[in-house]
Amino acid sequence: MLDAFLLGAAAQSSLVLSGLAVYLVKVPQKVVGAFAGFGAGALIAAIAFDLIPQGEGLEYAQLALWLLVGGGVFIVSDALVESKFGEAEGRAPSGSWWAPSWTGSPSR
Amino acid sequence: MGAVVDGIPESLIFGIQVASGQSISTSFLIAVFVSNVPQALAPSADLAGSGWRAGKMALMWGVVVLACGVASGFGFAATDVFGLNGDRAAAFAAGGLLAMLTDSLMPFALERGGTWAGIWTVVGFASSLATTSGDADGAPDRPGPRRPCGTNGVATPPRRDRAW
Repeated sequence: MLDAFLLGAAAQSSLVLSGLAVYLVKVPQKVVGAFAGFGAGALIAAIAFDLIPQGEGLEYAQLALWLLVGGGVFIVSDALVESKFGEAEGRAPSGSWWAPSWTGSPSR
Repeated sequence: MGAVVDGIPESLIFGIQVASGQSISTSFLIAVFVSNVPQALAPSADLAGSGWRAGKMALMWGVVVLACGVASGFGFAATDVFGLNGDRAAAFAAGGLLAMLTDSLMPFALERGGTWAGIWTVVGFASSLATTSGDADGAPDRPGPRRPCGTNGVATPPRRDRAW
């Protein structure tokens, strides 16, 4: 459990780094897009050459089923997040631990 | 601020993988690490522009990272409940990430980076491939005889045997 916590946090720690980077350098939009493109390509390679080979013990139909389950869970959780944070900027319920008031719109 | 919580599904996947005894590959970690950069840069620049100080920003993202860690732990816990073994967890993670790519990351890349984002996608793919091949020098390997996917000969494949 602790391992999972640490790995999850470590993988996402780039959020803090890039959050602070904006104070040091002005990052052009093109560069942001380049990073996003690079990340997308890297993820595709990770999916194709790491994750799928890991799942090769499964029957093909089962593999496809679990791919679909994964996609479905993402879509649903993303929609939930969107409905909480996407449109409701600035009026996120404060007090809830995962929606503290500072996640509201920066422009007030 | 949807970008703030975008990392949570990925973190769930990490937790599931750790729980299922699956080692998380370096290239996967790096891919997530890098793809987070643009997702944090964009909202951070907005917040900084509206007068947020660095300390507040660090605290905010720190909380997000902690939340992702918690999500990862939750994924770990959920693994028992849903009986995800390593193979299923990997397929589950792959499906989730593929959906995320289309819905979130790639449109974002095109919007910010324009046409050149496509080239960067190719560069990212190639770089990740270099890591995946496990070469110490990081040079992309000749695409040799990779273990074919979809053949069910191996019940529990050893993690990334570097024989080839």
